[in-house]
Amino acid sequence: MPADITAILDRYGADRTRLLDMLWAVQDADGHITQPAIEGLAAGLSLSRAEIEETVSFYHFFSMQPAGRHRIYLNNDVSTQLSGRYEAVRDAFEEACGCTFGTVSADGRFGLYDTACIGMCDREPAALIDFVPFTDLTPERVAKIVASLKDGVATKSLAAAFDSGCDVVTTRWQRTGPVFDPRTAAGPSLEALFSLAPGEILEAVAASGLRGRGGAGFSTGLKWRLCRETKAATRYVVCNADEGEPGTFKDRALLTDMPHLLIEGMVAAAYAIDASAGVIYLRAEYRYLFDRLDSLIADYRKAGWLGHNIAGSGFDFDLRLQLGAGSYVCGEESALIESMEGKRGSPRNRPPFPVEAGFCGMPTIVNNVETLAAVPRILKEGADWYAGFGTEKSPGTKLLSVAGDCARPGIYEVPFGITVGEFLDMVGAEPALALQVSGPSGECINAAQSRHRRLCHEDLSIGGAMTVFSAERDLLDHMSRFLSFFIAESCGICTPCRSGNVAMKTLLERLRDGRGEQRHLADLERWGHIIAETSRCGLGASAPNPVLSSLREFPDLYAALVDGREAEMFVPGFDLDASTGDYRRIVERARSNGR
Amino acid sequence: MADEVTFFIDGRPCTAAAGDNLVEAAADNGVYIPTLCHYKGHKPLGTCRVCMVRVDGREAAACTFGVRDGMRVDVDAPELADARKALIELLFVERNHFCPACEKSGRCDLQAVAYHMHLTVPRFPYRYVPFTVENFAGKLLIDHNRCILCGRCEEFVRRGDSKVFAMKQRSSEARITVDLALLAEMSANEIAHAVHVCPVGAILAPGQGFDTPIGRRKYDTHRIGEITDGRD
Ligand SMILES: Cc1cc2nc3c(=O)[nH]c(=O)nc-3n(C[C@H](O)[C@H](O)[C@H](O)COP(=O)(O)O)c2cc1C
Ligand code: SF4
Ligand code: SF4
Repeated sequence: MPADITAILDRYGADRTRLLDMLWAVQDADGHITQPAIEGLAAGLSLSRAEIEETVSFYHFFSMQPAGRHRIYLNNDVSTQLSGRYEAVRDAFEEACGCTFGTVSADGRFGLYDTACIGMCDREPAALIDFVPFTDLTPERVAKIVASLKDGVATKSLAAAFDSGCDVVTTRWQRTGPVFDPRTAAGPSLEALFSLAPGEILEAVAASGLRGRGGAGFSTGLKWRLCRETKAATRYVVCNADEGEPGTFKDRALLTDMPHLLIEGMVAAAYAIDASAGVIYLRAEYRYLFDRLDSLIADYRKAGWLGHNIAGSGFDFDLRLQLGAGSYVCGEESALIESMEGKRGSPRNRPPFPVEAGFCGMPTIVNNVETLAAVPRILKEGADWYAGFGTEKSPGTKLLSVAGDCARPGIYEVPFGITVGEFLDMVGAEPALALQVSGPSGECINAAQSRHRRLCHEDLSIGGAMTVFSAERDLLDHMSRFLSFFIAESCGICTPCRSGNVAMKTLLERLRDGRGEQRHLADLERWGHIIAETSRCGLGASAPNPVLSSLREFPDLYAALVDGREAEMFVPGFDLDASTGDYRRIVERARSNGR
Repeated sequence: MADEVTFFIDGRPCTAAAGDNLVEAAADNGVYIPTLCHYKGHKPLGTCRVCMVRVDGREAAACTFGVRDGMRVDVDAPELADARKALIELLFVERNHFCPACEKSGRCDLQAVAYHMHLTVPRFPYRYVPFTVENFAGKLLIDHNRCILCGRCEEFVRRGDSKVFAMKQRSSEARITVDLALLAEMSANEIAHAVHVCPVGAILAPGQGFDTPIGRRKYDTHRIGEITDGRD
């Protein structure tokens, strides 16, 4: 039955900022976003059709054509390549579904698609089938899954039959810590929280030294204060649960095992900065967590944590979930806000920063899941307690998502400042060739030479992803894949990121094919710096990092690509003399003939 | 009127009203900062990044900055000039710009900036991807071979509050598209405005490509940095 556009518009109050929700509703009903639906939404929202299509076509998980009754998105990220079973699993899907990746089966039953990291890195290969995760795949499992789907078994009940349940993917907690222990971690009671003055919360957060866990490490206390100090009719608290950095799944662990801390952290933040509404922006890859989180929010509302006049304090605050639709750049805070407003996820120019003008132009704090979840722990145990862990400039602890070539992948809570050597021993990664710190946008470091280096803002910044590469790996192949990831995820509005990274990739591939020269190594470096310096947002600024950091840490790997090239009969380019030789001979002959 | 402040370009004192757009304030002080996406007097887009300078020691797109008292701006440094040139090269290799066959030749900002920078051969490999030319009911043409995705049409061509042009997809797949219903309502003047807003030859009105003969167009007679009015 075609989607009832009027009902959908009604459900979301014909509010343009809820366009993503409306598009999900259409797609869930119709299988894809149809032209009549686009027309209906455009009319109902007073937008042009082109504007709706701009949003629809930006997101990976929306499609304007039939995309298969069962949509299968197989992760093709580096961590699945390291599993050793990726190709076999991919082949098994193609064979079982009767179509190749990027196409829909003839009977319209299956659509097979590649997708970037889905946050299941310690359980690869993994796929989303109708947005339900299926992890630890083998060719045999794939055959069984597809056969069951053909028999009409519902995707959710099918997932429950596998270890990877339909609403929970069990977290591998390798090391819990003082801050996040799924069995014990608790925040202050509602009464205790609201017995504090907003200023006291701001002070405690500032005193704890908490810095953003989404990668940039900005002081949380300062961010909140700047937002509070911006005069405005209303303010917003946004939780960034977009967790798109390949190799990262620590926010998934919190969303699965300790979502209460996140909600309490958002309430505390809202109370501290005087915000009226909050939004958890959940990446579409984690859609399987949506209902669980939604009902937890409802529980909190019932218990008086959310809503009108919370705990008799006169303070009003409510919270909702916003589902993304497949875009890495939407993790960038200003792109995330654009997406929350129902638009394509282009990062904004700054200034103004979100704390000045964010969601719908109002002051907004955007914080990572882990940042917000730490707040109730700080309020419960005290700022000094928290600041007692870690280093001077990086107080506290950090959750790490560990995957790749190591004995013990999973989630670890560690104090900031542990060394690379301690880390490698802890996860059972000896001997490792390289460590990808903080995912592709971070750094690729030489494991053997970096054992003394420290994981903290003073040395190697840690965002959450730690991917280990053993000596058997073709490291540059993986760096090249990272670059492809950034190319595909670029929002495309600025020149260096959109065009420059394609140029980098072309040159890197040329080198890897053995068609490069020594001077190209210097070119890679210079081009990378130009892209990083001129890009509009952090995506472009970090896209060259895999190449730049591996060039620095593994010069021999690159030198080997051009070794001996000079000695070969290699024509470095266009030879003007040779190419115009016949012309020159004619001219010379003419001259000597005296003409 | 906002306060008059002093700021410095390559060490030279300049004056402007506080908050003035840096690209425009520099021009008023006789310093040309190349740009493609900036549309004088309008909200900055910050998409082409060609106006890359250093503001108080940090790389920044000049069009997205307002002048502040005491602000120090580097424009001339060789590495900045090289980065700006690289951005122009990246645009040339990305799509197919055959200036001699282009209706916009002589009044195209991309071509003019390239001449200004003495661009000969780009350092980056050409992509050679063929793009389409779309003809919208004989009213408007979009030649995607020439689009630099600056977003000017999207931002500055509107009917009421609605965007006539929009950007579909992302990454190098991004394409400018036009809303057919709104286009149908557009007057000849509005179309002419859209053609004018586009800094390159990507948006064209049929039959008007050669209204001013090549050789007598604005950049045929003046270098791009010398022109400050709206002439074509
Ligand atoms: C391309 C890009 C992707 C990002 N993705 C995320 C993300 O998935 N989650 C996140 O918390 N921060 C992400 N960030 C960082 C956010 O912009 C922002 O700094 C962060 O959410 C702020 O929260 P924090 O201060 O608590 O870290 C990303 C940044 C960039 C440039
Ligand atoms: S750097 Fe990339 S992702 Fe960021 S604004 Fe530019 S094109 Fe978009
Ligand atoms: S069509 Fe013209 S104005 Fe529009 S984005 Fe392309 S180059 Fe810019």
